Amino acid sequence: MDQKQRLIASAFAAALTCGVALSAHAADANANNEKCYGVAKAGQNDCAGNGHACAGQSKKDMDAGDWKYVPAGSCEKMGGMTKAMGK
Amino acid sequence: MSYAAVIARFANALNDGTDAQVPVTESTRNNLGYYRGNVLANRTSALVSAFATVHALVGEAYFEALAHAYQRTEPSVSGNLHDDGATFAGFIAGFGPAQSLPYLSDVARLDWAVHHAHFALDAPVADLTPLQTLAADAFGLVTFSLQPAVHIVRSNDWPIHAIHAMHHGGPAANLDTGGEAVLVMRDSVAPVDHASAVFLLTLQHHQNINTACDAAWHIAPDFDPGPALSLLFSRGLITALHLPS
Repeated sequence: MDQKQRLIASAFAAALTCGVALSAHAADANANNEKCYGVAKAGQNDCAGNGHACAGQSKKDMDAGDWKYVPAGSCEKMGGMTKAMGK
Repeated sequence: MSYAAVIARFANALNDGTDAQVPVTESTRNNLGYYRGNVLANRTSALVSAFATVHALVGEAYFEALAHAYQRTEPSVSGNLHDDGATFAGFIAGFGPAQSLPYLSDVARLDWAVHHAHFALDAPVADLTPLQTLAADAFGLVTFSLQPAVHIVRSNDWPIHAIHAMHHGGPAANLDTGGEAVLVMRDSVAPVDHASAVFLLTLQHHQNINTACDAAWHIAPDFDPGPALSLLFSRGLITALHLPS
């Protein structure tokens, strides 16, 4: 058995010690999570999920055509675009 | 005019407000603007939900404009709004005004993987006990099938995990720390080193452990498959084992 085979075998042995015991547990945890999915992330396929009434969305196309928007979110916290642009 | 042609005309009128050929009555035509607004708002809302990190990075107005620009070039291809946005990261990468945020496209790829993983099916976890009796020199020939939710996202240049974590209670990301790779699972993510990411990607494509290790060692000669294997085993990410016969 060469060096690589030995490395792979020992990695498997180490990972298996905790892995086999935990895999049954992980399956349980997944099953428990199931109930929360609908709560954690709202569906978008129905009117109620979208935060506006389907009939009442009165915003007609408000695009100006030319792009004039400036990012105004959390990207500024990372030192901003100037650093990124310098890359 | 065939039904398909009428529907196609109607769909076109939702994209193009100047289309005079729209097959509705004169009195209805004016109301089509509201329908058009609804389509745009619904798709935008679905994109906000799917690309939460991108949305947080650029803010409401910018994201809305970006989403509208996307919708003008990419028609929806599914009746399920959760499927909308598969090409958003690619669109951002090629969108001139977004070039000032060069990491945005890679962040969008991670967002899409997280979104996709959330709605992916759960497959039963494989029984790993056959591995315990495997001869040591046979491990390299093992192949796995992974959970449908599993995605491995790599950015060559940007700390995408730190940027994602920043929007889940973490500190502000430092853009100078370089590229990161992320293992995306059902409703959780884990940062992995690039060699482990290549290892996992190779395994995901049903290549055996030897091939996956060789691919990872090509990137990092000191790669240890242990941590990535531990993640696969302990998080229930393996749905089938294929042992050498």
